[in-house]
Amino acid sequence: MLILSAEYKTKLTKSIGVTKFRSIAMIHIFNNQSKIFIFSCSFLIFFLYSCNGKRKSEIINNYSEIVIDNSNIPDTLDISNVIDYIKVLKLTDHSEKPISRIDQLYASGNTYIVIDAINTKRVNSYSADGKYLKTLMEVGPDKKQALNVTDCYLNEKNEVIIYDYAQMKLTVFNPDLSVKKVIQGKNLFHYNHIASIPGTEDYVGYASYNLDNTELQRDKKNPSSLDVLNSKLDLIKKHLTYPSKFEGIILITASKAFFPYKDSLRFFRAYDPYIYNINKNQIQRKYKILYKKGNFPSDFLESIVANHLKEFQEIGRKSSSLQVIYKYFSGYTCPENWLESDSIICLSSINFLDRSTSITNTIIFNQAKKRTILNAGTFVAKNDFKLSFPQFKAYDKHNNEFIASCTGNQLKKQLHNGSPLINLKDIVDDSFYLIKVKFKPKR
Amino acid sequence: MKNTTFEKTFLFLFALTAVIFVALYYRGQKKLQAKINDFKALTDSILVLNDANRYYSDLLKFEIKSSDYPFEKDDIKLFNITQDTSKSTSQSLNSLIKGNKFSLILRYTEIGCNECSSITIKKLNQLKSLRPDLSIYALVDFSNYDSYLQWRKVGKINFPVYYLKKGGIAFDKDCRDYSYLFMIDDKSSASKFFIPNSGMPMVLDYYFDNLYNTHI
Repeated sequence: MLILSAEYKTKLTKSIGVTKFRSIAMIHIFNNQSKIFIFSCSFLIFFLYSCNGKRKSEIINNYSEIVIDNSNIPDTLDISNVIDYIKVLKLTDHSEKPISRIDQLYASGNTYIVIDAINTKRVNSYSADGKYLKTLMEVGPDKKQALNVTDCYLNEKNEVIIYDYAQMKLTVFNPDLSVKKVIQGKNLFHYNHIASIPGTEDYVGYASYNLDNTELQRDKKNPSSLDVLNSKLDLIKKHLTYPSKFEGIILITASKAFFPYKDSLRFFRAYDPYIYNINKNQIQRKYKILYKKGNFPSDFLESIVANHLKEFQEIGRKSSSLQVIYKYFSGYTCPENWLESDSIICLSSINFLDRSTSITNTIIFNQAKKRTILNAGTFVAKNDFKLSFPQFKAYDKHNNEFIASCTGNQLKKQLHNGSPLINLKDIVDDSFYLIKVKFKPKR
Repeated sequence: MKNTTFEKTFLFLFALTAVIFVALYYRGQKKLQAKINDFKALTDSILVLNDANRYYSDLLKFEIKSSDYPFEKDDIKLFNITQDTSKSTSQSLNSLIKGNKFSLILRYTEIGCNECSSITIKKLNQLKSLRPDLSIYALVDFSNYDSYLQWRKVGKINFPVYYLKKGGIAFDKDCRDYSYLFMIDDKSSASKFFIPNSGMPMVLDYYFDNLYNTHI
């Protein structure tokens, strides 16, 4: 800019004299300053745009389709021939620190972690033989306690991460269940679930449509369902953004959204056919679940909700029921849960039929060149174990066991006559039991 | 030379103006943000006050409407599920409260505010421990047996529990989604209706203190 200015000055001095030059030079300088100003502004806008671009990132499509034949799903399906063993384990509660439901269950080989996020708002840990170890978190006035415990997560390093929704606070526990660190976010963003991204210090948070984050994130135009957060819980990137008019609609949110798989993280949510894979470099769509009959429309926001927006936004205030969506659609959406080993995937689909919800269970055997898919309302082991399986809730990678949970009262109903697993008289109605299943390595 | 100095001076002044402008802009933004935060705090306060007013108003309406309501207790069939949950034999509410100077009833519904019910049950347990002779009953409407078992376990209920279907008592229609407390005296008159609210535990404390001082 300055070189050009000097050349221009010489030319002008020669032709028009010094006085005129000064006034023209002033204009020229102003022009130059204007150029600098315009350039600076353009640069600033570009810079801000670039920054904004970094905050919203694309998800890579690299998925394979899993087709579930739901045209004739049996109520029960005997899977005795694929089961290696089944073990039943009673969780013994501390009389002062009981839980009253199992919303999420995690297994780390020698410890079980359980969260009751609704009633007692407590996270308890149990030993391999089911004995109560300690309460990791509960609601209370102490600084070490939480205002609201809504979510916990066991990461690939066997660290337990407990999320206090009300304070945007994570308490991270070492595998020996001692406190490793407490992270208090500066901003009170709201998420249903938070997990750590393997191989990084970052976290990822899932927010369903009814969590109002845009005002907190100062980005009212871009509500998002999946946010990447740094080690201090500051927002880094926003994924799965959607039009702001849909913010605040009330829909079903599953009790889990993340599952650690090897050096990555699986992410799933209701009404979305994709299973996402999150690792330190990228997020990609890994699987797409397709039902032969009655797929829930993946563009449901525009095709269903947009036409009845007010009803979807008001239902939370006027009714405790979330059944409004059934008025406009009957069919399948998935997954309500997703568990994955090297060779087996267990998932459960939500089935909206006749304005009610039911769950369909699926076991997928992934072999080198062949994929076998079993579907049933309930899986049973009629031959040796004489048991109907509750829904699988966790996968223990150390013991290669899929784990279901139920109360003693439910277990009595799940066991068939002559089951060798446990004596009916030993079952305590209001205790919780784990049913641990190991599948045969090859089918 | 002069022109160069002039340009430099101008550039310096321009840069200075720009810095001042940016500083003023950020100062303004900070002030604006502080005002927005104040506004949010005030809005929150108003919302809390509105909620409190609505709660007091609902309490008053429920008490006025329900007190001295014709109480057809003979028609109300209860099932004692305190220990045995088979619900095999029924009894009337009348036979339950007969002979008591007064009975304190918790009408528990499994929907609604869990925390509100929890703090009430803690209070009732305390009251029952202090005065074992006191007639305290819970009338519950659980539709799921497992939910009842867990509620009983976590609450460590130390007073009798009876099953009464939802809508089985006249007052349910005015308080469908919340648990509530009331008293029945020996003249079969229902009074002291109260809806616990965990957001205002001091009102619950007052209710129990008043009950304790005036009736026990």
